[in-house]
Parts: sequence; structure tokens; C-alpha cells
Amino acid sequence: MSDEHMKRESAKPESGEAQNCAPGASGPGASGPMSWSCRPSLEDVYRYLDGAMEQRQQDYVASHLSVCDGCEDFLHFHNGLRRLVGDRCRTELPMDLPDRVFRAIDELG
Amino acid sequence: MADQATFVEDTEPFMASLYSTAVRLTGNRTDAEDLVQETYLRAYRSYGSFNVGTNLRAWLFRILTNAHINRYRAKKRRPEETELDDVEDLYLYRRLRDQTQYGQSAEDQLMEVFSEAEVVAAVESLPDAYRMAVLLADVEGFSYKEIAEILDIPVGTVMSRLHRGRKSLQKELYEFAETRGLVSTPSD
Repeated sequence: MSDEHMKRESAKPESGEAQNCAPGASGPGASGPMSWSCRPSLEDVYRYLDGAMEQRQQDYVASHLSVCDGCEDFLHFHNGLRRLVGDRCRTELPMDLPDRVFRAIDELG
Repeated sequence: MADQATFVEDTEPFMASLYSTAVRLTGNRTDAEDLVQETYLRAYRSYGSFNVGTNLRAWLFRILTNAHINRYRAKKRRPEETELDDVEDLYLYRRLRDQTQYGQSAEDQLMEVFSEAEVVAAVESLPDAYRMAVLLADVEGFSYKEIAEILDIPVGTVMSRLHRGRKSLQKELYEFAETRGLVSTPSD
């Protein structure tokens, strides 16, 4: 659950979105441990970003991203979306809430 | 076994994130404060059964989510399962891509497009089951395994709820953007 998978911001125009640069891969979805389609499903994107792939596949995707601007841009977008949710959905703790809560616990005796 | 004497010291660091999650779950601060208080009371009472050295944060979140489910189960209507299968996966990305500036981080670009209120509204529009999974993963950074423990569901169900929740979220955000004329209407 970290940004370490996104090592650099891509400043280049995206390319290769329609290209399938994973040899032997066809269609959406990562069909095996050593494949990645340039049209990944959302599920695959998030499995990668969530660090939920097995290590070999995680490494494979990381190295693919270093050579495929289209995929890197796509993953950057979704990582940004996830971080947007994380950042926007926090609410600051009211300063008096801890005291109130712990006082209620004290009153339990 | 954990000692109630150290309860406050052990659990206070987690109140901020428990509260934050409670606000998104209940939709308002008053209910969130009540939910947090109830969570801490329950946690205190059962602290003796907590195994020291195991995941205290996940344990507290489990109590929070259970308390929320129990409190609001009667009030909430059954979550609607919106039809998502027909929505293509590249949804928001494809529609917003033309709005973005190169060289800017994706998060900064998205922050310029969506206000905090819109992101919050999009998350709070999610049915409870999806909302909890998304909050636990994307706000609190829990792993699939931890979420499975917190919600007492299989990891496969976590992944499915996360997938559907995130997809729904994209759809909601897309509709906000569309309302403001930021995206072209679908041509296909």
C-alpha cells in the first residue's frame, strides 16, 4: 500500500496504449505470472498498486512500466486516484473527543 | 492478555483514524463521535481478551465496523448493487485524460478536477459493504488480509468488494465531472 511502485512521474506523452508489448499476451488481464497486457483490467491495476501480486509478477510489471509509457501513465492515474481518496476522506479529530471518550471509560468504574 | 490499565495509552493513537473512518461510515460527525465512543467502550470491556503483540489497530477497526453494522443495520436500506459489468474499466481515465497537464502528478491533476466535497460525496454514495472496503484499503492502508480479518470475510470477498467499490467510485466521480462539463459525452 505505498507509492514505491511509482518511481517517477512520466513527463512524456503516452504512447503504446494500443500496442501489446507483452510477448504472447492477448486481450485484457494478466493471464499468468509473467504476463501483463497493455490493456490491463482495473482489477490487475489495483492488484499491482495494492502490492497483492506475487513477487515475480510484481517485479515483472514494474520492469514493464519502466519501458511502457502508456501503462505507466495509466497506473499513475489510478495511483493518484487512490491517493486522492485517501487524502480527501480524512477528518480531523475533534480536540475534546479523547477526553470525552476516556472520561466515559472512567465512569465504567 | 492485555491489561486494562494500559488501555488508554495503547489505544489513544488510533482514535484519529477510527474517527475519520467513522465520519465516512456514518456521514456525520455527531454519529461518528458516538460510534467512536461506543467502539472504545466495547474495546475497553474486552481488552482482557486481546492478545498483546497482535494487530491492535485491526482489532479496534473490527470493533468499529461491527458496532457500525449493528447500529445502522436496521436503519439502512439494503445496498443497491448497481450494474457495473457494462462499465468499461478504463472509464474515468479515458474520459479525463485530455484534461491533464503533463509533468504534474496524477494526484495533483485529480485534485484540480475534483473538490473535496465531491470525493467525499462519491465515497459516501457507496453501499456500506463497498464503502468499508475502500476506506480500509485506500484511506487506512490495510492489506487485503487485514481487511479480511476486520470484516470477517474471505480475502476473495475483500478483493471483489474493493473492485466493485473502486469501480463505483470512478463512475460517481465521472458523473460529477460530466455535470460540470469537464468530459465529453460518450460517443460510442
